[in-house]
Amino acid sequence: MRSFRQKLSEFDARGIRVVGISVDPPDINRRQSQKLGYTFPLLSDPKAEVIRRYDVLHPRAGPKGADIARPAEFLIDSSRIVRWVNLTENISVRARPEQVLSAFKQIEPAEQ
Amino acid sequence: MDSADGDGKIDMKRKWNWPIWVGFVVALGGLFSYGFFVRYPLTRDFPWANLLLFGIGAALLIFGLFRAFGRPQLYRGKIFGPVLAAIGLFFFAFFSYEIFYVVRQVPLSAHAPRLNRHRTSCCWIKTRCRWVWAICFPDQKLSC
Repeated sequence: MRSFRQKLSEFDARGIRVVGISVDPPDINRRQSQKLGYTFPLLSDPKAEVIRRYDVLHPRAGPKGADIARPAEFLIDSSRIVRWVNLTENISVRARPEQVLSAFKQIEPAEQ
Repeated sequence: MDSADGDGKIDMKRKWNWPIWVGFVVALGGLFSYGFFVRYPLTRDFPWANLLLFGIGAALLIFGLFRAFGRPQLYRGKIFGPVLAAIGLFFFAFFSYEIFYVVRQVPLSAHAPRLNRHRTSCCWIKTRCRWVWAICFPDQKLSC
């Protein structure tokens, strides 16, 4: 997320809207955003409704055995089709912003 | 070694076996520095910096143990050397277990939206007093 924040201007320049989502309640997400300087929306899904629909729930992996979301990144185009997916097999290996920008570059002609 | 005193005893003063202690501290750094290295993709995706620290720590510990057992009349460390080496080994085992096993226990997400095969329906939501187009639900599988 930190690396996405650093490249946010490049996402903005390409018209890509970055949105994060987690199971944390809004006040925790707000504090987290302020602490880490996130300027993109960090949304709360405490009941994991959206997270379940994406099938990215990681059951009992959070503090005190709470359900959390596994790391995953989706790039959805303006016609609402999922154009790029990153489902990591290692929690510590996340998608880098360069990967998303590169994926966007590849689908960009189709977008225009 | 000091010269013999009046009683004929030899006063031996053994040296501090610094590689054991420095090696242990470096191994400790290898365990706890991942919180720092995780900030950078290069050292997060594969923990080579931590493994390097563990390697340096192990080399120093082994060197220190050889000194402690090889030349015990000169160097300390026959007791705390193996103890610190065992603790260091435990740190390495714990780190390896966490980094190479625990973090890979990710659900398969077999029903997650797949590339070019899912259309989403998106809705407007309000964040911080402004409306943003943010949430898209995967709701439809496209025919290929």
